[in-house]
Parts: sequence; C-alpha cells; structure tokens
Amino acid sequence: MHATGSEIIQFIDLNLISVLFLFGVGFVGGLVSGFIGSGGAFVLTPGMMSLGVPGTVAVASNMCHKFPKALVGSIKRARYGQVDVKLGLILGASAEIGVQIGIHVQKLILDRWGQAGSNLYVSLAFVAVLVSVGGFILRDVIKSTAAPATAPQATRIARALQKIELWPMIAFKTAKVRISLWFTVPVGLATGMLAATIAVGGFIGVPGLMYIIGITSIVASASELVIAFVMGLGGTLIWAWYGMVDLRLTLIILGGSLFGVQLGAIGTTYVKDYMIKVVMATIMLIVALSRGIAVPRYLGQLNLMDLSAGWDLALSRVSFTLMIIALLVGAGIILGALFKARKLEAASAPELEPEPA
Amino acid sequence: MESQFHAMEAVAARPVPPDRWPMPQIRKRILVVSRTGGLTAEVFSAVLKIAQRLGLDLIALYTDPLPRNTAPPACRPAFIVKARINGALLMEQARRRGVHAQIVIAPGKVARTVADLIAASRGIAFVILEPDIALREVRSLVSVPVFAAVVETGRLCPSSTLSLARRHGIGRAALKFFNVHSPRGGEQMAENVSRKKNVQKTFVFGAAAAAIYAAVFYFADPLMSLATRGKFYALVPVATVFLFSYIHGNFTSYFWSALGIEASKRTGVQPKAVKPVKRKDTRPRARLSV
Repeated sequence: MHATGSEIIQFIDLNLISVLFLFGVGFVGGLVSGFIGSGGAFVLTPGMMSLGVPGTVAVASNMCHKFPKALVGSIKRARYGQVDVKLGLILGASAEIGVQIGIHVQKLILDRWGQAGSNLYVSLAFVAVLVSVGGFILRDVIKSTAAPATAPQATRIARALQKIELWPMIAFKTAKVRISLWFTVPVGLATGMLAATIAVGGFIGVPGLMYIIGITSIVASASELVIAFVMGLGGTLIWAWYGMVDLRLTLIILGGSLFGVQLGAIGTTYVKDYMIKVVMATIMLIVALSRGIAVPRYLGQLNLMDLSAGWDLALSRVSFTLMIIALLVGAGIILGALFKARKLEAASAPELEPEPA
Repeated sequence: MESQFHAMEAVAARPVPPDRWPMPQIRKRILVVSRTGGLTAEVFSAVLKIAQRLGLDLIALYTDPLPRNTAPPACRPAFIVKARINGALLMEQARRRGVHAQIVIAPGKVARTVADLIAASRGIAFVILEPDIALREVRSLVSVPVFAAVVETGRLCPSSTLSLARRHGIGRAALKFFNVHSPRGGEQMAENVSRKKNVQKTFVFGAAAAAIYAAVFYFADPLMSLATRGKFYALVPVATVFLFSYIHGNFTSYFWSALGIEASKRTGVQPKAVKPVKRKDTRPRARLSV
C-alpha cells in the first residue's frame, strides 16, 4: 500500500471485454447499492484481480468509485425523503475510526501469519458476520411476513436503548429516533471495521441501524449511503496519496454503477420495507457460502490442510462464481420487485373521475 | 322517444320523424356531440383522423339544449342554421378523408339526447363530447365509453385512460387527441412537459458525459501519470470522479426519467412537513393599575 508512484505499479491494458465486464459488474453493483445501501462492490475487487489488476490497485480503484456512487445514490434518495444526513455523518465519522482500527488489525494478522493468514481471517470474518447477521435478518423477514401486516416497529433492544437518557442525546428527524450518541458509535465502529476487513461495511451498518438504533430499513439503507460516502472519500484520499488509483478502471465502473444506483434508489420507492431485508439477507447468505467454500484454500496455504492444486483452483472459481451469483440474484429480486410494483401501480391507478359539470 | 332528431346526409337535409332516425348499421361509429351547434376545427380534424385511422363511421349530433317550447319541442331556427353549416363543413371534410358521416340535429338535454340516439342507433363504439358538456351526466345514462375533447391539452393520454380504452376495445389512436376530464388532467400535462424536459436534459448531459469520457480516455496517459503521482496529486482522481459523478450522475438520472422509470407516486417523494404558523395571542390580558 505504501509503494508510491506508477513506476512500481503495473496498470493493465484495457480491452473491450474487460471494459464491458467492469461496466456490467458496476451496473449490477450500483443497483444493489442503490437499493440496500451497500453490498454492490464486493465482487469488484476480486473481479478486477481476475483481469490481472494488482490487489492494491483493485482495492483503491474500487474504493474510488464507491464514494461518488454513494454520493449520487444518497442525493437521489434524499429527494425521496429517505436519508437522515445527520445520522449518516455521525456514523460516518465513527466508521472512519473503525476503518483505521480494522486496518490495524489486518496489519497485525498480516505480520504474524502472512497473506494466507490474512485471507483466512477475511474469509472467516465474512462467514461469521454474514451468516449470523444474514440469518438474523432472514429470520426477521420470515417472522414479519408471517405476522399480520403492521407498520415496521423497532426491536426491543432499540426501544430500550432509546429510553436511556445518556448525554448527549441526539434527535434524528428523518429517522424519527432520539438516541444517545454513545449507542450510535459502536454501530459506526463496527461498520468501519467490517469495511476495512471485507470491503462492505453496510452488511453490518444497515442491520445495526435497523436493529440497534431502531430505524426503518428504507431510512437505514439510504443513510448507509452517506456513511459509505464519508468512508469512501477518506479511504480514497489515503489510496490516492500513495498513487494507487487507476482512474480508467474507476471511471468505467462508475459509468455502469451510476446507472444502477439510480435504478436501485427508484426501486426503494416501490417496494415494502421488508424487501430491502430480503435482498440483503439473500446476498449475505450466498456470499457467506462463497467465502465458506474458499476457507479450505487458505487452510491449505497455511499447511493446516492438504489440498491439491486442482482443488484449489476449482474452489477459487466456485467461490468467485457464487459471488457473482449473489449479486445477480440480488439484482434480479430488485428488478423483479420494481417492475412488478410498477405494473401493479399502473393497473390499480384510480379510474379517472369525470369533472363535475 | 320524446326528443326529435333531424337527420341529414347532406347540407340540404330536412327534419325527419323519430321512426326515420338513423337505423342500426353493421359498421361501428363514433358519436361526436355538440351542444353549441358548431364543432371547432380542432375537434373536426381530430375526430376525422380518429375515424379514418380506426376505419369507423361518424355521427355528429348537434343537440339544442334550449329548444322552442312547442309540442313536440323543436330546435331554434338559428341553432339549426348554425348546425347545418357546421355539419356541411364536417361532411365535406369527411368526404375528402373517405369517412362516412351522418349529421343529426335534435332538441333536448344533451345527456338524454345522446342516450336516446345510442339506443336508437346501435354500433356506436364511443362518444366524444365537446369540452363544455357535462361528462358525468352523459356517462350516467350511457353504457358506451364517453370522452371529452380537450384539444387545448392536446396529445395527452393518461395510462388509466389507455387501460379504459383497451377494456372497451378502443384503439390507442382514438385517445391520442383526447383526454378525459379529470382532476389529474393538470398533473398529466405537467408530467408530459417534464418528460420532454427530461429527454432534452438526457441528451445534454449524455453529450457532456460522452465528451468527458472521450477526453479522459484520449488523454489517458498524461492523466494517469498525474493521478498516480501520489501526495497532493491525490486530489486529481478525487476531483475527476466528483466531476463525473455530477455530469454522469445527472445523465443517468434523466435517462431513467426519460424512459418513464421514476419514483412511485404513492410512496416516493415524501412531502415536506408544513411548519405550523404561530398564531398571535390576541386574548385580553389582565392589567393592574397601581
């Protein structure tokens, strides 16, 4: 990361296929991000690396496309009255601290166990966080869809935290929540740490906002875009300081993702609150499976398990394919829900009333 | 039938008794209704275009809402003259377009006359009313679709009108020139105007986005060498993506809007809360004079 200048870094030559691939993944990633607030970018780093982009450049270029995408998405969703900017900025600030902690932890692991150990740590973090949080969200979705239709309510823990009058209390108008700053900080820190570890902080940020702070999934996913913007801008400045950003890659991905993020944001105005949870849980669980499949590879690299080169390659490919499937399934659910809801809305448009004489 | 129709195939038509009213025809027809005795040129043109495109015949009904108080009631002479002249023009234009048209002049209340004519003359696909005729009243008495001509708002075609038309087997072309009077009329008009603006802005921002993309990739080498120098040159990629997010972001936003993919009107944009106005307290105060 600290190697400076283009003389050290190999920037790849772009061809039509790689441009189309990046544009397409950018679009689908943007669609998912616009809808659930995050989660669209996790395929991009391995995707770019599969094109031959060095890991650090892939991470830096991915980061550099994330913050303008989050900016555009949050502006769009703010127009729909879904963004709590104050909440996003406060959590963004604590998430920045979380990122630094996460990077420090990563460095410690890298120094002690090397690259394979770091990869294993990342994969285990993926599996542990995504299975537990994704499973919790899925359970919540199943429970809420089985129950009679009521307005979404805050969880018991969120209600309990909101009752504790611990200075400084902050009122978030759009989120319709009044809570102590100290209860928002852990959510921000965890978001930042996860972002530094698996590059998708929103997988903990959005559930944290929903279940700990107690806001609706629509506002949570929209405010997460503000957090992503703050974290992304900070991260990009650091990467760009070391000259790691491949602007061409960033702009190609951005080209596709801005189309997607707009569509994803529009989608949130058509669907019910729980649909965001459905998409998020689905993506999280498929990605957890994908990373779970990759765990034996890293165990093999650490000599903790015997794994042939053929199996190593096969697991790597299956893992990457599953990641793409996760993104495509998420995008499919979003587009399906969007167009179905649009059709229903058009069909149920009120019959035009004649004008009184 | 209480009302009396005057039917004519040409200008020189003469009043006929009810038993000689236009009889049911196999061909479907459009009934266009005027109560002023003079359909405007815009209505003429639009109705004839529709009839021509759909291959329908046309009946123009001129109904005099203030007939002479005779038994049976009769149209005012001035109304008949006006209607005949207007009918002659319509017939001539219809002939040029190859549309078979009939003119009917009748006294009586519009809704009742329309209902009587529809009952007497089967095959009427739908009814188009002059703008100032009460749509609700006519609709309450007839079973065929009734539309009001709103030529000023022109080519508006709300989706619900289209679905209504589809249910009744009316072609899209028929509705292109007409709109149903509705409280949503203004909203629809605004929507159309905004769609047009969106298309224009899509082109403007699209061209700008294409230009900056072309510029970046044309000057890729010098730009990359700047962006990867590190240190304070870190601002180069950051500023570049900010510029792109503005131009390309606007382009993509207008792009979806131009395609008609916009936020839901039901749950989409949340209206801003109206701040309550603080009322001045004008109640008398207790005073103490010392």
